[in-house]
Amino acid sequence: MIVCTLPLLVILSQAPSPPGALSTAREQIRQGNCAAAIDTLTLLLHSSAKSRPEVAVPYQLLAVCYERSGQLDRAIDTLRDGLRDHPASPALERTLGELLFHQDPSNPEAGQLLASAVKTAPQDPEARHYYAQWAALNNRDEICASQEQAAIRLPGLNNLALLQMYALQGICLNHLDKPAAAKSALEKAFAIDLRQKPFDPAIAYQYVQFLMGRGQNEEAREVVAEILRRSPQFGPAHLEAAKSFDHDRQTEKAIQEAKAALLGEGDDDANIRAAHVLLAKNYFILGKTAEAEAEQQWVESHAGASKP
Amino acid sequence: MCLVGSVAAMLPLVEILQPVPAPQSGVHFSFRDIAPTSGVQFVLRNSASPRKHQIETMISGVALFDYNNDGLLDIFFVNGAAIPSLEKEDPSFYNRLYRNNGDGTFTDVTAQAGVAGVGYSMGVAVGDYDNDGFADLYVTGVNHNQLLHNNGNGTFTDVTAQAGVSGVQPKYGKTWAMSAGWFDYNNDGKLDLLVINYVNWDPRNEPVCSVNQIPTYCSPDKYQGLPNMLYRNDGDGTFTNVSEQSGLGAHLGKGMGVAFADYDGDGYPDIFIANDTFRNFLFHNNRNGTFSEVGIVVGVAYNQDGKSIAGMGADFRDTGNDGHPDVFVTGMIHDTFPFYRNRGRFFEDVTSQSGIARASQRLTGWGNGIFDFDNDGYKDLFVACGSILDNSWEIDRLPAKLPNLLLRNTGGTFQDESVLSGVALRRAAMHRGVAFGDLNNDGRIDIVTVSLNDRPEILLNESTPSNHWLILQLEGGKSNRDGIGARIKIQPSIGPAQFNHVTSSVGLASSSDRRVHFGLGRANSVATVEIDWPSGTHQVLHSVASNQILHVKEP
Repeated sequence: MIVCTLPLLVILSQAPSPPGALSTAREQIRQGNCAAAIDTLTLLLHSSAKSRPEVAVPYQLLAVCYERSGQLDRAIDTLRDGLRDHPASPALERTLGELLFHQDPSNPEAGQLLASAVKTAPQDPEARHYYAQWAALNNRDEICASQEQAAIRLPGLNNLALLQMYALQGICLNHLDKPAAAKSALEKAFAIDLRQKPFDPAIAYQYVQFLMGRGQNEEAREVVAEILRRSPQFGPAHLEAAKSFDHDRQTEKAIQEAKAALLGEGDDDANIRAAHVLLAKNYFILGKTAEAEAEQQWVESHAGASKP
Repeated sequence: MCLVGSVAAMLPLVEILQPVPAPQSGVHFSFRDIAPTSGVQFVLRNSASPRKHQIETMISGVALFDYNNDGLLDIFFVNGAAIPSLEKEDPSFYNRLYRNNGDGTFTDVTAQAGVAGVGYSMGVAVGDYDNDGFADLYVTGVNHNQLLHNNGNGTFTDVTAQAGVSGVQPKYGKTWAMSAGWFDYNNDGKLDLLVINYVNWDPRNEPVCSVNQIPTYCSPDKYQGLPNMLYRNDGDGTFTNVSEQSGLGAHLGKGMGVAFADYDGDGYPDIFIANDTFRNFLFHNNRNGTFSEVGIVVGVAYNQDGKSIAGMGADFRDTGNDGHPDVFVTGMIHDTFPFYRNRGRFFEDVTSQSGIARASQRLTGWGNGIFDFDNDGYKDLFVACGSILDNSWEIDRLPAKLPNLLLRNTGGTFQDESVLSGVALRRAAMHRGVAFGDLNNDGRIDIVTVSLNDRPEILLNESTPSNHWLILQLEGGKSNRDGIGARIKIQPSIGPAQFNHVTSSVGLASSSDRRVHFGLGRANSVATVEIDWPSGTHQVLHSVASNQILHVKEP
């Protein structure tokens, strides 16, 4: 769960170092001993209950440790406790918002918390990015695009961050029927991706899907070829190549690429099914009925969540 | 900064939506909604409840047919019922038949005709099953299906029981029937009946679904699918359930729309069925009374990403003037509406390349149809749109009421011209079914839509009157009298050859004018009309004048 890994690093590296128990807990977490840190932090919060901790960091650290040890509900409860003590803490709002979002992407409270965190800490690109993610998944594409735009302008972003932000911005702009702006953002993401080591084919594949959805198949083919040059094992790109050959009625090549897709990496269930469906159809076209029937049987017996 | 994982995890969840392109053509469609002045008072009542019973959101039936043979298309509307009784407890729930007065108005003849119906109805199919020259009705529903025989004197008689088409399955009992279609699967001159069943819905054991504690209709995956039912017409007013022996009964689905066409040109009609969140079926007619389900191997089972969509309506006609019927299916928001181009023995998903993907990604479509609305010789696409949920704004900030979609065929691709086709097409509603036909016999295809808890739209086509047209009304002799299944090829004096076939099964749970319409563009005559009747008879007409409704009898 990325949500917790990230704040933890930030908290450990950036927050002021209070004396005593808090620094002990930090060290325990650094050593990977979350169980001990939970004890330390719980004791710290209980012992200071009457006077209230002056900073929100103990709540964050405790929540992170709970989450890391699979106790998501306790992590959420801890953050809620923290927010009762520190109602205006953007860090607690952001962390709770992220947790609730990953628990249930449609959770409106997650959106409210992330929105509040952005308002309180407008220079926090992570808060903006998480708010954009929530917005993207809850049909608030204007919010998504504007938050990513604002986040991209903030200083100190590394290429990985920009890559993600441009990609999401492109998707949301596309939702908003702004294809030129969407393409520009996705192109930027793709350009960064090409410079990245390692190259992330999944991000580049988002650009392919955008181009395919726009009917810009030739351009999509070029991106697919680039993906396969850099990540020859990336199954979804082989699948797109298979679709292209299928479209061109190059049946043998379509079969070859569909098989490569199945042998590759990064396919989800739908991609795997699509590869088998392509194989069934192209074997059928070639008159190889036994092979076609075998592929059809595979598809029928792997309906996944889609069952009659 | 550590944002990679989070976005990478999120991205696949987000569907990419595409914008609607601006039309390039200077000529636009034009439709005018005459419903408010037509005398049609019908309102589709679904008994919407806070409980969100699944049946509420599905009623889709509307039919355009000439019940009294006066040459004018009349309108039949399907209606819901009270819940939980599932009976039409008062007249507001009646199905309604409106006679076309020929002057833009309609008269409610429901009572005289005896077609008010029973139970919670869903859809309608029109066909002259007894070849007496009068169109009969089959009404599908949740708890009752009805076969209404047209007596030829303006009245109908419920003959469901004696005909043996009640829709009761030996294993499941009476199941929720969504659509039905008339076709002659064995080319014996008698129309057979295919009943499309949805899911096994039991009001006593209905799942409860919600999002953020807001009640919603459940996903179909909460319900078990059902087999469809094929009734063979025995020619004596009765039917035999041949679901099992035909092979159709072996396939469980969640059937919505059904359309018929002879996709491989072997002379026998094949069946396409759109399933809801399950792969589509294409049943190839084996010409021996059985069918093989070939959807996967011919490429129409899934979308191009290997996913099942929330299949709704379907139409099955040639859009490319190549003689091969294509398949056009509607789905829910983010599905896009799949368009499968028929390459002869197999299909190619060209949803993206055709421009349909970007036009449809933000829409939920129900009924649909492939017709040449501007008479330019290329069939266009229409989709009735509306959200599944009446509280979709509350749940996910999406409007419940949507305008319809009209896509112009530009010869291989389709352009969205909805917003340029008159204010009537921009009216947002929870549209469901749609039927197509020429209501005023002016050679232009009109459209009637139904919407939940709303009045219908009667969209009179006023597009490009300068283009020529031809409508063929077939009368079978050896073939079924409606000529359903007959394949027609015309060669206009100008422009490419065109192809179509006789069917009333169009879209979702609805029935369209069985007369076959061709737009001729600038061609003022048709050099040849070739008809391949289901009986095997090949008929050729020469030098046919345009701008007429031509009655053609099977020789």
